[in-house]
Amino acid sequence: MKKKKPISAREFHERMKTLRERRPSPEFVEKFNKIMDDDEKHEREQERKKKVARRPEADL
Amino acid sequence: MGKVIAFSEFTSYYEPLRKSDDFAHGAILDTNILIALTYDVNINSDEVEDFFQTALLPEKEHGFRFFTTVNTRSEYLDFDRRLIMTENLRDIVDENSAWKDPSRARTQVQYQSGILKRREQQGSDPVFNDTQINAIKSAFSAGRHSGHEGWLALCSRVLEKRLDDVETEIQGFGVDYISQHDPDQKEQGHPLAAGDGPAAPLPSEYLKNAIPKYWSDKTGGILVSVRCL
Repeated sequence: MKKKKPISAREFHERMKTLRERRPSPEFVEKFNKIMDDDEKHEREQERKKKVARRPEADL
Repeated sequence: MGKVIAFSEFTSYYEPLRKSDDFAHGAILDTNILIALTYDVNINSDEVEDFFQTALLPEKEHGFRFFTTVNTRSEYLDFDRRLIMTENLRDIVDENSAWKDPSRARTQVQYQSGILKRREQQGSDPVFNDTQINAIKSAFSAGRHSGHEGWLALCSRVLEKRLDDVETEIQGFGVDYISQHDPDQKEQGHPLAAGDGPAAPLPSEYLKNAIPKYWSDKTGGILVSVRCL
């Protein structure tokens, strides 16, 4: 079997750099943003509920 | 302990050993070598790349082999995980980014990046450590609802398959694990003793713990490492 020629240090370096620079797709960014939107909405809702629960007349 | 050989002296050091049966014709690569070889921001990157290109790879064509221990590989993968998280998190908070990040998380990433900048000025790699990543994670997860879900989705997406791909590339470059079970290593008697320095002497406890027994008949070998002398 013919011996495989080793890849150069530069090529190895470039391949690793390409891997490192791989970023999530725009679809994933959209999905992530949706999660964050839901989170924000939920927090606002919780905040509103908390305010209502704290009205002093609620204890009367 | 053996001798510490500078990168520039490696070829003349190895020349008379090339035909020796007693010498391990392979080198154990230290974690800092893998980092320098793969991460161009690292302060030693150019020098290490040049050393491989001019000294080690020509030997590889004649059967010289590269090895890592399981610990070294695991340390490198840990570095790589932190590197990829660092770069992605910093991208997310970039002012032109399309990501919607929680403002607490943005503040935390910016704060931690400031710490990194100072560390980088002192010669370290600009990579968050685990304490910093955990602080950012807490800022992401501070929401009572799905903040944590966002963090998990992010980690899963940026790291998913990534470590496997890194492993594949390292193997493609011809770096093998030192293994007691690899028949190739057994038959060829590839071995290693070691050193510190670009090439230095193997500490005996290293030999005892990391090198399979059947390699211990070799009287010398090489550990490639970066060391400030």
